[in-house]
Amino acid sequence: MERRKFLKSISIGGVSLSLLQLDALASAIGYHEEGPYNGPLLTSFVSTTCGACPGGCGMRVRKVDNIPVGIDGNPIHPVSRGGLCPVGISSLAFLIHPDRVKQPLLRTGPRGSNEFKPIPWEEAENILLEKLGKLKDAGIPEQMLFVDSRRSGPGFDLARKFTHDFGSPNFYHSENPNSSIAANIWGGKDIDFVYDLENARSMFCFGAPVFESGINPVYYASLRSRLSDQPEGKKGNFYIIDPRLSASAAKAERWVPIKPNTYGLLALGMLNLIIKEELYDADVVDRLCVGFDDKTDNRGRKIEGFKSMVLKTYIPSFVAEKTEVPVDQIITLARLFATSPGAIAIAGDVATRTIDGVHQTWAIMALNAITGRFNKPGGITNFNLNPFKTQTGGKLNARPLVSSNKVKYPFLGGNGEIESLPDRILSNSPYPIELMIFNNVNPIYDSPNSSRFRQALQNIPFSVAFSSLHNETTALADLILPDCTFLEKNDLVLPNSDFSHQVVGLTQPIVEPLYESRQADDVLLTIGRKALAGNWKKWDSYKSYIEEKADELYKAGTGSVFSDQFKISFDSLLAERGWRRTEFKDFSGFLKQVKKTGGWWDASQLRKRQQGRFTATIDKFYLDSKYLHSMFQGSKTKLIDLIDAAGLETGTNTEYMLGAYRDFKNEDEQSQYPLALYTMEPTTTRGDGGRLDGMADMIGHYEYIKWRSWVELNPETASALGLSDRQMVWVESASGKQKLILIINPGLIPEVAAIPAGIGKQGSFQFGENIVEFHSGEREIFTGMPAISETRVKIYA
Amino acid sequence: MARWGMVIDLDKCVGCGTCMASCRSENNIPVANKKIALDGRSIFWMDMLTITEGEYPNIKKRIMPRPCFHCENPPCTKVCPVRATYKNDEGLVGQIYHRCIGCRYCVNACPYNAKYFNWYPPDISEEQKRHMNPDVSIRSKGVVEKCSFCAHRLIRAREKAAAENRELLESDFTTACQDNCPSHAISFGDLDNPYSEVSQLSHSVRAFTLLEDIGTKPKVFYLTEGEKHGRFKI
Repeated sequence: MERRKFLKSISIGGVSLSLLQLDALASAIGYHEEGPYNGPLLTSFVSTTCGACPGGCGMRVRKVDNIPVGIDGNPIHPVSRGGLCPVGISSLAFLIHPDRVKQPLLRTGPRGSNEFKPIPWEEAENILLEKLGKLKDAGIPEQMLFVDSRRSGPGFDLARKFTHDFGSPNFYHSENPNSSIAANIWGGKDIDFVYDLENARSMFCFGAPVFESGINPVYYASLRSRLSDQPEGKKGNFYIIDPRLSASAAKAERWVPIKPNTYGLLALGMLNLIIKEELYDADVVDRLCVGFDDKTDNRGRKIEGFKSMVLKTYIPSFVAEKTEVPVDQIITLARLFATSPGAIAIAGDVATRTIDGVHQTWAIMALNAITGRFNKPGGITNFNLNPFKTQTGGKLNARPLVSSNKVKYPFLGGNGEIESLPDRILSNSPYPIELMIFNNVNPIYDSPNSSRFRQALQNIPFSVAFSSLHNETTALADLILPDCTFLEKNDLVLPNSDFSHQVVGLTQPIVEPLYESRQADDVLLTIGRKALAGNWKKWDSYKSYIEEKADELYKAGTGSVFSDQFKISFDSLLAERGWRRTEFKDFSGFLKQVKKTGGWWDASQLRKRQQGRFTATIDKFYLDSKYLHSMFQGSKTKLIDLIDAAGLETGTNTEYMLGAYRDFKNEDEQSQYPLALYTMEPTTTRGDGGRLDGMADMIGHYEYIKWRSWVELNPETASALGLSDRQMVWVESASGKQKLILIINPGLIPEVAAIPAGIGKQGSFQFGENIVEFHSGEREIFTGMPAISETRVKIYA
Repeated sequence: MARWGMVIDLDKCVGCGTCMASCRSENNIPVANKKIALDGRSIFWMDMLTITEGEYPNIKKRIMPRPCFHCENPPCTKVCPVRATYKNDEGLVGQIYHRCIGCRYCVNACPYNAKYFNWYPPDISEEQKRHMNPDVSIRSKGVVEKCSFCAHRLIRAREKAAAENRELLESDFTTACQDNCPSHAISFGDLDNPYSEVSQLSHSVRAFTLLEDIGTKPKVFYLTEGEKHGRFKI
């Protein structure tokens, strides 16, 4: 309150100073200047799950007099173990972000003009109900399309059920399907594989700077700490095989610089050595691997086995030439991998974002297969991390816009492929889309296909966006609905990390929803109750829905709530002997404890794995293309055509399509755009980290860059181009160009330009440029996933 | 009387920057806006030193978290004309913001660049102010600030121990960077207690301090990464 107004209020109120006025008096005389807040300072803690990225780390929010004032890691969370990343720590900033959507907004001006008018929630719900009703009445419910940001969990299931109960098969989410499709190809069935890193000791990370851009860097950091604590001789090692000396590579035991997109080739080179020196596990190869040895077919023809093919084709000198990893290093890596107990090869996300992403993942997995890392503690197992029963929706009559087949070509990664959507929407095939609902997704920024998405959004009759922050996608929507941030939500979250046990984190609101925001799931439930058939009336709020889900966990009678190490060991021992300690009298006691500790997990699995007991196994690893060929049966597309179109060399014969290697034959393009573009993903840009001013100050901290994007070059490459450090340069690809500051980085392989991703997001703290604009449209040949690692650029002053 | 110190294990540290972010939110360090950041006036009580040595492919990169070292023999306290910066009985080098006259002698005297001068008034909105840590005051323009080893947490821990009618335990007092480090690279405690983790680690063969030869005797020790760095050699 200003001094003048305050004095006026005293004169009006006479001498009767109310408590409110006393408070105003305090603020007028600067009583608040000292500290940010003055009150009785009653401190409490709330355990919740971080939603800044899908990693699902546990956090404890410190509240003073019910106001959240700080965030710490939850020390008993099994995934993050008390750690958080910089974005998670700073996430109170999302709560009070200046770009928050504060009330429902209806578009008034033309699309993209950012002209909206605030409307009440009732009106917003009625608009949505009316749009849905029209489609239903016309008998075309399939023309509603829903895109969700989540990948699994009760909320994801509910959104899918909403779409399916309405009668639309068009429910999609954003995920890189390359690795899961590769698993189906090598496993010969639908496989949910997990790395059992809890028991692994040496991690060979192909294209994966795991401490900053893995799926959950906090988990890897905690893993590293535990491996370092082991006694001498049992300490774990991290080998980062990546083109750039990132913070992860600098902190790993070994950094192996490699030419981008040749990770699979290096794995095959290592396999050559392992086979030649007979370091593989012959027993496992015999039982698990299909097509290893030479054989003779029915007609008496000799068919070359994988072994002969690898020995003939992937000789170390050849691999060294292609990958730029010297021969002696390939030999040492191969020997180290085959002989270190608990070694495991991990395929990073970057490694799979190429035109041959499935091939690369397959080759890296083949390393694990023939050295006997499957179905073992510290290896790879087939395990479903989702402990919940999946919600099934109503019967669907229409075909989805994009096929969801995982075992027949064209595979599009289950519902994980949203990149094909804009083309289908724009071509109205097989039918037009009338209504599109986005739940906290921003394809206009994220998708390499963003210009097509923009066009598609311009053409859709009506689009609705749930979002807590204004972004590129909400700017084009017709109706923006203010969603809560994860700090105001109720939810059960399945952490997306490489942790190999079933974990369910609880998200509970630390404050009441700010402004007029409402949790999107609650809005879906309200609409569902009013407009959909099925059991929607069962739940009066999303909170009651997740309580029902929590009850499912309680009734299953396995696992335990998060607890300290002693309790975990005790419970696992009991579980092993078929006993169970009844900690809670009833469900309400269980729920209370889950709220206190932050979640539930099944700790007994850890012990089972340590003892080598598994319930689900992987029984085959296809080294030949037999199963892959069968996946193409009945398809008009020929496998060989795909391989040829991508410029892959199949080595000796067509039996080994997956052993194909890249020859980088496209010399013309290379001369025009001589540099490969490497995407850096700093931890500070995870989720919407790039929209926080706090992160803007930290993203380029190691390069002494603030509030801007930059491009890195090796000194040799820079001097060949006549460029010097901290000079402004143009970076140009076939699809766009940007002016960036050049940083000379001696820790980057030559002929590569590195640019950070996750910045350049529209908003109050906008800075830098969006790297996705460079992508010129290459796709993974099997899954159609944008191959962003294939982008090539040229740099000039 | 405890002698508080810190050990940072560079083998465990993954250079993620969580210590920087958690320090900033715990200690109400205002986020530098674009102008302030580009002027090079960002404040990080816990900073990250990056050193790149050698040429490709034989290259080493070191990333080291750098708080205030709370030296036994601090150069900064000696030059302060108004005793705004001082060393207390427990070895903590403190900073009294209201006494500071902004001469910046201490900023120049610190060989580790751990002290920061507030060139601008804090750019904090009313909403942000509401969510700040009430245990730590917000510094105004014209004063020097630095890492306090989360001394406000020590005060809280003492109050708690007194309320529970017991002695202060070493584990009662932790720093924000230590609490949130995902790789548990930071240990904190009493260097004079021979059984404490920090005391034992600070005597490890791997332990070193920065600029040992200038005699400041820092109470922050690093554990070296050994020769595991850089490119792989046979």
